[in-house]
Parts: sequence; structure tokens; C-alpha cells
Amino acid sequence: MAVSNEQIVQTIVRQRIALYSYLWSILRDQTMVEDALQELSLLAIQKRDQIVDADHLAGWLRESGRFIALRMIEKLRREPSAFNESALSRLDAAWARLDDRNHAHAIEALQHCLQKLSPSSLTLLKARYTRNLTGEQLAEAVQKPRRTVYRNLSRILSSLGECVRFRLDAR
Amino acid sequence: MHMATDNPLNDLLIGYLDGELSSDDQRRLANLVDANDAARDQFVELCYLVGLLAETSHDTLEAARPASPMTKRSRVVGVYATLAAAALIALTITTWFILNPNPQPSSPSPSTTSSSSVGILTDRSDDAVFADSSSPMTPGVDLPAERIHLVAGKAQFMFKSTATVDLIGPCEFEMIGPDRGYLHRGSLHAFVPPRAVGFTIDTPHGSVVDLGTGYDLQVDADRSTQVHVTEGCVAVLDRTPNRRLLWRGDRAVLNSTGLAELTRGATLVEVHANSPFVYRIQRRGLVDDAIAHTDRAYQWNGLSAEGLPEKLRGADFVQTPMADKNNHNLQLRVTLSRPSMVYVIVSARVAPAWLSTMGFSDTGWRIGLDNTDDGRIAAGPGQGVDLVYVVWQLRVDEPRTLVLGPPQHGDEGKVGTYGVAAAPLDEAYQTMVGPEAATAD
Repeated sequence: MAVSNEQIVQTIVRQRIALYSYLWSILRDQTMVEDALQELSLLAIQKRDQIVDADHLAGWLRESGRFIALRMIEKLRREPSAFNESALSRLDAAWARLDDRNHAHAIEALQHCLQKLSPSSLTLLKARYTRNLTGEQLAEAVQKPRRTVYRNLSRILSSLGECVRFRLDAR
Repeated sequence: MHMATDNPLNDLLIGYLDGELSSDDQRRLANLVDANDAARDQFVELCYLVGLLAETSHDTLEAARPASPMTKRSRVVGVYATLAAAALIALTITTWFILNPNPQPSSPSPSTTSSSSVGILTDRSDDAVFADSSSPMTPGVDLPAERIHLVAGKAQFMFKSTATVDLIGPCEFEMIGPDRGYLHRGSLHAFVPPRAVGFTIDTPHGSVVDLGTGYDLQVDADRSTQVHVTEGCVAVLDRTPNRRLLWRGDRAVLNSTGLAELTRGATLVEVHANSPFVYRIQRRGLVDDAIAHTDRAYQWNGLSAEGLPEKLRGADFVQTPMADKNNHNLQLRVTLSRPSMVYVIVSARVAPAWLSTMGFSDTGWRIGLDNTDDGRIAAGPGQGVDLVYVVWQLRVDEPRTLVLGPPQHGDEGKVGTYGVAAAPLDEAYQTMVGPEAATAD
């Protein structure tokens, strides 16, 4: 029996952060990710009869999302991703481990961990993810050389990631 | 929190996600990630964290600092950033309403679309509390025309017309029909795709007719209705009945007597270049002695004491980096919030060929650049002009993004880079008297 439209709506809404992250890992452009999410949602509704159950749906969304994202890159003649289709397929098992993650808990954990960052680290994260600055604009916003900015960003995200995982594991 | 030590894989991953890696580094990253499960897990976890930050930044990052009055306001709007992607997803799902108005006729599901359904509940926050609802408020449920009382939390509804509203509790909202609602009190954000143009929300003080856009609406039933357009354009009808167009960035306050306040937003709202150098918008900043570039102290000036041409004065303009004067591949994307006249200011020595191709025409206006060729920067119109520039113009009748080309090189090579400015067309701000206002009750 195919999944219902309600299941599709609920799964996409529940898994939106994981899907968003997955598409971002390929497209690396917010507008393109949003377009891809729209196309993916429509495709899921149209192909509902081919999706067996909720477990199948999660994998189907990733596989179709990958196809849509790679096609968008090709169509827009953008520089191809460092990861080709087979490399992305090999990452699928790691992405599947996020299927059971409670994203509301992850947001709570993130909120908690952000409180522990220094003001300068928060400033950098906000410039990058709230104001959506990258490259030279990001460097100018925090008044540091570009290379230093990216090194700092890497260290902040490493620490933040450890903190979030620790809190999720502790639940 | 313990700060992590250097992690080369993470460095590469961050660079990859921001498009900062060379081809060699991209290959190195692909090989590292392909090498083992741990690296693949690290890749996925980092992508997830970045997605989480990007998707929830207004909720998480803004909340992680003491709130000022301004940040408090943005947070009210930003609370719904978490649902923004869901809104986009939801929009696509509503396409299904159009394509397939009776999707599961044989299904026994109580949520099967019925003829009285005007939309569905697409999302709700964990803390959402509804009062007096005749429908079970679970995501995916069809909703008839009814009044929704959201006591607390947040909820998203999608109309059959494909318009989406995000309600922020406490809020009383009425779904009137597939393309109409009534906000009795509280706040909402509406997102209306082109196919749902005409979607209308009435309030006690007027109506907002959407022309393909996103906007925030806040109603204090006893006092006023506030509208803030975040994307596209809306028509606002007050009780007089006057009808005004509001564009991205504009704010209006309506009360029982009509329009109480109107604040116009910027004309040039975004600038992006495929360049490492900085481009910056100066809102209403084009005046005599305005700094022309982000990396020089050079100034735009009128050629005489009369100053800059009247239509340029007070326009939004882009400060461009002179460092891009030899960038043959430059693509400069400028986004307009409203119908505008766009001006490109180029050296009088030679004009880029793309100006004519795009439909720009020479205004006949000449202005000056006061650089340091004479050893000083002067003050005032007509003072210290070293180079003459020509102003080209292009009428753009709707909000959109223009992609401008590279600076042109003269025979002698050095002609500098160009400037960009924009001013709203008069038509963008026309007030009409419309019988539609009579429906705003």
C-alpha cells in the first residue's frame, strides 16, 4: 500500500532540517536548496503510488533529492560538486542514521550550546548564518583575514558539533 | 565550552560548503570522505549542524544574546524562520490541491479533502495551543472555513489557493475561503506564490491584497493594523477607501480613519558580485560628495555648482570596488524591490557594450568623479572633478534582479569601474481609489 499524502506532509515537515542539510551538502546555495526542496515535495506527491511505506519514503526523498540537486547543477552549468553521484551514494548510510534523530531535541541542544560560546564566536556565526555572508564579505564583517575567519569558523563548528552530540546522546 | 583543536577535515568541509576550496582541495576532501565511515559520519554531522544553524538561525543565534528592542522585534518575525523552509515545502504540496482537488476519494481517512475544505494545517510548534477548534489540529488535516484561536505557540496553514500563513500565538484568525482570511488580532506572516495572486487578508482597519509576495501583518483590534512587506508587492486598502501599493521593505500602519503611517523601504535591496571585493549599497546616498567606491575616497559630484542631476539626487547607489576595474569576468547582480529607473555611471571615454544590449540608453547627463589626480579631494558640487562620467538609464517595470557586466577598457586601458544607482518610478507609489475597499469589513 502506498503512503498517504498526510504521511508525506508529516515526514517532509519532520525531516525538513535533515533534507535541507542533505541538499545543502550538494548544492551549497540557499536559493537552490529551497527550489530543490519544493521540487522534491511536489515529486513525492506525484509519485506517491511508488512509495511503499514511511521507511521507504525517507530513503526515497534522499535519492530523489540527490537526483534533483545534481540535475540542477548540470542545468545551471555550475561547477560540479566535489562528490559525484557514486560518492554521494556511499554517504547515504551516514545520512540514514539521521532519520531517527529528533530535530526538536537537536534545536534545544544547539540553543544550549550556543549560550556557551564567546561573544566573538557568536558574532562570527551570526554573520555567516543569519546575515548569510561568505568569503570576503564575512571577513570584512568580523574584521579578520579570510583565512583566519574560516579557521575560526571550523573550530567553532567542531566544538559546537561536539556539544550538540553530547547533549543528544545524554538524553 | 571546550574549544576544538585543529581539524583538517573540518577545515576542508567548511571551505567546501562555502565554495572556498580549490579544485585540488576538493579532490583531497572527496578522497578523505571516501576513505572510511568515520569521515563520512563527520561529513554528515557537520552538514547537519550547518543546516541546523542556517535553518534556525533567527531562533537560535538571535536568542543567544541579550535582546535589544530591535532584536526583539526581529525575533517576533524571525521566530518563523524555523518554519520558513516548511512554508516552501508546503507551497509545493499545495500545488497538489490545484492539480488534484480530490486526491483520495476512496480513502476512509477523515482528513480526505472535502468540498468544504479551504486549506490544511501544515505545521505546528510543540507548544502550540488551540482553543475552541472544531477540527483536530494535527498536521495534514483539512480545515473548513472557521475561526482559529491560537492561544500560544506557532502554526502554519496553507490555503487551497496555495497561499500560506504562519500564525504566531496569541492570535485569532479566520479562514474565510480558499483565497481569503481575516486577522482579528495577533500576528501572522503570509507567503503567496504567483499562482495565488489576489489572496486577501482583511483586518478591522482595512485589507491586504497580495500580488505575489511575503509580508508580516500585526493587528491590535482596538488601535491599528501594521503591514511590513518582506518580498514582492501588496495592495493595501484602507477605510477611506484608498488603495496603495507597498513593495518589499515598505511598512504601513492603518487605523480606523485610514493610513496613519507609511515608511518606504530601499529601492536597491541586494548586491552580489562574483568578486572577492566588497560592494555596498548606500540607501538614498547619492548626493554631491558621496563616496563612490568601497576602496577609494573618490567622490561623485555634479559638474557645476548646480550639483548632480535632480533625478539622481537621493537615489540608492552601489559603492563599487575600484579593484574590480580589470575584472573581465565581473557579473554584478543588483536586486530592485520596486519598479525603478536604474542608472549605470560609466567613464565618458568608453561605454561597455552590454549597456546597449540590455536596453540602457544615454540620459545625456554627465557627472564627475573627484579622485586624487589633482592631489586632493574637494568639497561641494562642481569642485575637484577630475574625470567625466556618463549616466545611462534603464526603466525596469517590476522588481527583479539585473545582472550587469564587466567594466569596459579603453585603448589606454585605465578607465576605472562603474557606478550603479536606482530610484523608484512614480507609478510605484500611485494611490488609487478602489471599490475593493468596500469589502474590507
